[in-house]
Amino acid sequence: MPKFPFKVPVEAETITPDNFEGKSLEEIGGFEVWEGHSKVCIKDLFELKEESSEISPTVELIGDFSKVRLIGKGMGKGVIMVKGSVGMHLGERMCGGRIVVEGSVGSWLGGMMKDGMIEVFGDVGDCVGAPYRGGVKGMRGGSIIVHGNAGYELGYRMRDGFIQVDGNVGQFAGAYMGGGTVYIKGQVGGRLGACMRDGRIVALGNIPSILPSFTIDDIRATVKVGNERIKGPFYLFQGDLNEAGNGRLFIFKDSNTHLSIFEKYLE
Amino acid sequence: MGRLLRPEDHLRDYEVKTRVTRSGVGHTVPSTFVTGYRYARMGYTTVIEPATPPLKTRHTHHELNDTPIVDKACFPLVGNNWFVMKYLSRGMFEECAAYLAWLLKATRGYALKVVNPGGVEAWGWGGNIDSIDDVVPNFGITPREIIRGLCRINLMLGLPHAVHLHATRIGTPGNFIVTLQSMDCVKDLAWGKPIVHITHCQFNAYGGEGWVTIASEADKIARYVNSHSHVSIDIGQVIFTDVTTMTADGPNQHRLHLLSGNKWASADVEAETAAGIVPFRFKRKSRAHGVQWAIGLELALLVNDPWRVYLTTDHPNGGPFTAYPRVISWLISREARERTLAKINNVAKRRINLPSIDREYDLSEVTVVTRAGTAKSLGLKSKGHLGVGADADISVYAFNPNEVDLSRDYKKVRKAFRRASYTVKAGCLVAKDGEILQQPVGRTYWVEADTPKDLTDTMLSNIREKFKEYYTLEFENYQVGEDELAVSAPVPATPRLG
Repeated sequence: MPKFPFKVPVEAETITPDNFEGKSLEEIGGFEVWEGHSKVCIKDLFELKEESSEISPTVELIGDFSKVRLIGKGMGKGVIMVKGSVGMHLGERMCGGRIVVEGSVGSWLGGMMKDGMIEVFGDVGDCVGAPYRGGVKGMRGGSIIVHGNAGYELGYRMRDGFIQVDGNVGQFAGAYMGGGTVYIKGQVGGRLGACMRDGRIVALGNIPSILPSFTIDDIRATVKVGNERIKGPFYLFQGDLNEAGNGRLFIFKDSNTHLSIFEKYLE
Repeated sequence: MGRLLRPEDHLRDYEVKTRVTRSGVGHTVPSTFVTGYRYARMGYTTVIEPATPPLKTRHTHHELNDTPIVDKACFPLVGNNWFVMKYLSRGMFEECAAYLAWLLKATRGYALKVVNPGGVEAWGWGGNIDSIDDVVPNFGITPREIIRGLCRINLMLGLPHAVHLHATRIGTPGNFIVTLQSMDCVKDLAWGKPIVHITHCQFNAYGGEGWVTIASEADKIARYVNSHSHVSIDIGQVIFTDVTTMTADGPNQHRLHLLSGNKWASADVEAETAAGIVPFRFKRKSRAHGVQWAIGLELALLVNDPWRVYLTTDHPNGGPFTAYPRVISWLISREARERTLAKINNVAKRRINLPSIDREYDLSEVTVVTRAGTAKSLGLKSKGHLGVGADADISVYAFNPNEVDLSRDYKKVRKAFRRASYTVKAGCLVAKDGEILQQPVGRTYWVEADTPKDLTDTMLSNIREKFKEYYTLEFENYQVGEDELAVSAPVPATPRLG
């Protein structure tokens, strides 16, 4: 629980179930975090309380953590439960365990994730699963479920794993994707799958247009996502041809009647 | 531009501000302050920026001004320059010499740099040049004539350093032939000391017909260098790591982008030169990279005269300059080489000469190929020696040559060379055991070559006229003022013209 509203960003990569496991409240309070450019201790910024839980180790964050970044960085086990909102870079390079957020999350959620599970009930920012600018290796495992909306560049440079968004997503979802599956239930911004080389994007909602570097391949009755077989029909687009890509876009036909102009290209 | 292209390079390596030093970022392409500190920590006190486009050289000087501690100089690119090609194609050597003397002053440059002569001009049309006897489109001149003309002018102007040449067909299997031709085409102009310097020669010493058959021809290059005193080379050693390739060789950088699929930045094509930047990674298990790695070392070990072969990584192309201690360890120790050799691609092992080379450098040779030889090659008389009148630029390393067996204890030597115990610059202790104590501003050397008045006036009126026609900036603004250098250090040349 934050002790006071933070004025500057706080970097708290020491907050992981792995780090807290087996430590006393004293020790945890002494862990380093950055408040802006100052090094301080966890106990300077947060109230700590010890409780028992079913799964160990579990870290519960209660309150407004929206300015706190890098929580759960590199975690490999346990649970982080956020009862509130949380800042950028949550679960970066995560390789196991689970993160659940009741509120919203900042950008770069699960950046370069290797494995594990993240579930967010609110909205998330941009660049879900993405590496830092200039980096070429994105998410390569695990799953991220967002019940709210997401911003742009969802799954940028994704190599494997699963991302689901129940709400809407912004532009450039699946950009530079090389593998994995993205499943969007709501509306989709333009430029879906730009520079994609592989992987699948399934979109149920309306999308204003498909990039001209994608070609229509087929109409599919259903598409399998995980264990679920989702009823279509779906337009299947292949691309990005600018990258000689084998990526596939499954676009739900009934929400996208304007895309029927592509049907004449199917024999 | 390299730093702009690679934000991910900043992230992985950064230095926090201290009481004395400023912060900085970057591993393969470090920012200016960090660059100065890292050279000083290793005990280097003079650094050269070997290729700068004249139009952007003001910016080069801004960066050099912000590179603390070290003395520096820069080489303007002239090998694809329209004025140069026009002058040379008409045989107007004297006026061309006057132009280049003016250009060196206008850019506060130190030597004539040539990159893929004529090929970079062809790149303006999407092309390239593969032979030194192909004609450059629109200019009616060949690379051979460009190299010869510039070497003649270099002698006429009495410039302190040779023509610094990045040869044709860089990075292309089979290119060793054009490299030999490039060296040979000026042998008749020789008069004792080197007149042409083949830079990062490793990248131009390949045999084979393609990447599958690539092999080392370093022995042929070394044999030529050994029997011809008009040539010097620097090795351009490959390190098995992440690098950023950046050269003025626009067409060949583009080829590397297509080959690697890595991101690519291109610039200056519409201006006086060109540029291409592509991140890259050299891997032990790659057949080609294994051959490339061996070639650099072979060149250093097979050239007999340490005064004509210099240790470089062609930073940041072959590896970061912070890898110099590692290269030194490979030169002094056969065991060190064998350890790395064991890990390279098996086919590569059969395409190189390195396993059969026993030679191990002694410390005197190391000193020459990293300091004394380079200083002499550059004509910097107060550098690279500890005689009377030399600059007090001294580095002290933590090992006793009488107690250490270089060949066996190479790791200790490598470690010592990473961090000088003491780095003294101009008599001032700037670094101790890797800690920067002070950051004085170094000098910027540039060459001042006075040419006869009549010739110079004619040349200037011709140039001004063309400037109005072709350049988008004023003639006066093109020139870098002496006051724009933090510490100006002109070096006189002795022209013989008219």
